[in-house]
Amino acid sequence: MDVIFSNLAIGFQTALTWTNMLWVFIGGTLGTIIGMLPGLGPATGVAILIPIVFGMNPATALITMAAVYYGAMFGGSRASIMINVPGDASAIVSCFDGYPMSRKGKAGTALAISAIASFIGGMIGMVMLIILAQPVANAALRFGPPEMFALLLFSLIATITLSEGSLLKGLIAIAFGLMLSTVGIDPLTALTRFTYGSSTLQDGIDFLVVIIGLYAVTEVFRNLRDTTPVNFDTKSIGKVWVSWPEFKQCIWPMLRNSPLGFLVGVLPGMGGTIATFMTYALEKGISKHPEKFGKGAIEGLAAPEASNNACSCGALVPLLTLGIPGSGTTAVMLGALMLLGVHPGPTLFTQHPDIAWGVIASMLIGNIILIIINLPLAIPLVQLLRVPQRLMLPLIMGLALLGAYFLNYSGSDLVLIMIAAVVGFLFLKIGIPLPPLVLALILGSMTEQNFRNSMTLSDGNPSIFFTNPIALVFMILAGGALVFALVRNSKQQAKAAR
Amino acid sequence: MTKNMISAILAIVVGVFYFATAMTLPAHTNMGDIMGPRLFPIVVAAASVIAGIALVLVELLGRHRARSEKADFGFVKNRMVWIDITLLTAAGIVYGMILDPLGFTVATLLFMFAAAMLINRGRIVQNISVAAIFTVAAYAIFGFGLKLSLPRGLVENLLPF
Repeated sequence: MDVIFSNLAIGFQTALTWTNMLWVFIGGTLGTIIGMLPGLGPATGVAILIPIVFGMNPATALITMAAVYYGAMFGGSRASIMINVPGDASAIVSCFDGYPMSRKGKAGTALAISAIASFIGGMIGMVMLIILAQPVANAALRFGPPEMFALLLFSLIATITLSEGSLLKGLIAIAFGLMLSTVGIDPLTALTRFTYGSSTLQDGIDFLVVIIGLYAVTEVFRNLRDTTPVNFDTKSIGKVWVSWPEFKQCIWPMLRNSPLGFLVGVLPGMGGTIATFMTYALEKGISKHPEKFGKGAIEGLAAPEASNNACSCGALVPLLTLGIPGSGTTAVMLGALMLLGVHPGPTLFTQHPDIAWGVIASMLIGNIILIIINLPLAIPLVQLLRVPQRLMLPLIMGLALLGAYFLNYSGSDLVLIMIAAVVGFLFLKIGIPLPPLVLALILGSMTEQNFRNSMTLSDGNPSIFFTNPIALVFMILAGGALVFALVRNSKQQAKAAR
Repeated sequence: MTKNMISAILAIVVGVFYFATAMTLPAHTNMGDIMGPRLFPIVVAAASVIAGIALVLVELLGRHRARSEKADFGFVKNRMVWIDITLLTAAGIVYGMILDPLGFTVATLLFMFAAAMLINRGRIVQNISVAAIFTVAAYAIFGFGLKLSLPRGLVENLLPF
């Protein structure tokens, strides 16, 4: 316990500087707006804001990106409640009861409870993150190449099996991502691979450029058809506040679903979308009045909102302690940090405790700032939903391209970003999922190096992955994830055939 | 053709091509790395091809209604969207080519105006405003606020800062 408090003290020393507090505020507000606007999720938000973190020290950069991330979780449900259009995938569930509430003239209550639930979920998630971070990092410090390879393999496979969609197409996406990661100079032998004579490819494919293309520009392409004007009456929102009986009704759903959301966030590949659907189903299942769900049940909004924010805290556990992102947003954050010369992972806690604990402390502060922003400013903020997509899309596109340019000050990167965007759009049309591809692209080089180092250690004997106990556990988990996906896929097929 | 079939063929073609390139790499180097630079790519290529073949089999042998739906790119139905995507892609590439020679201000103004005209058809005044506000705001935030060095061209050289 003492260790936790002394670590937090180090964290607060970093977080409580004026610069960092200012960036928590800016990042949180921008995140709320980004999360709120349909079509712009946290991953896109962090991706287009990458140029902002360039001049920063790594601690401030991570603090800002984390603020955008959980700010987006606060904002995501605004559009669900007001116009029945989710701001991002994890806010879909908030439409189920949030929109009916606003139809009944209780939009103010819905906005308030979603902010309060986000705050409570975020705080519970933070406490769990604080307790878990150091032990996980300590355990990971003992990981050698075989353990790391097995863990990476499990993470990649988990991304496709736990997320939606076909197992085989997920595997194809991973293979494509790994292929892209091998382009350029091989770090172990300095041999040039897969460049096909191009000198620009020698340095490898800059995954941040690809990510900005896939997340930001592909999103622009996807939303080109959406020209529906948005209309709602601000006067009907009412007071953004919750009465005591309403709060009492939600407190247990918020408290019990936050830990669940956190655990879902820790697992690779399972993001806010799964957490919110799971907790909604759970709350409906144990409710004495399940018939009220979908018609404006306040618990039906509070539970997923709390779990969603707890989930975003959980997603930071593998990123900070293992250096392995489990979601699109954390993948983008990892990419930006590597650009600043910081490699998250177990050593982050020993070598840069100010960064690791600084971001954790900043999130505690950020949650408080966000609830202050989100309650009184809820009505002015939702006005932004009126800005039509046709004006937002060129701005997103401009920011994305400038962001990609600033990465290497190279105009030719804009060719890569546009190719990535078009290919990403076509992949979406044939159902090849993008998140596994992005994760494989980022983790590819690490996976290969750990694979080769392990094989060198064992003189070329692959049994090293099965004799080492920790590696074996991850290999079994990876196998289990595959079997789970196979069973689920065949069940889905049988259902479709019926 | 169904979505799965296209994905499968893509995985097989790309996998085979990547495999062929991988085979041109040396199997071993004398650098204490006994696996060499080509084993991992070969495994990845194999995974891609195997997943592709499995997907073809699922598609051909699976129960009729369990097969995936037909791919619909909407090239005809959503012709306008595809024209926009093509033009936006071209605009993005041209933007990359003119940023350094023309400088940040001129290139960004031109690109933003083009992109806004493609997405927000017909509203010229609105689009000129979007382009101008974006350019000035981006110059202020990136150039002044964040002190990133912006590509200098004619306009930047005329500015006193």
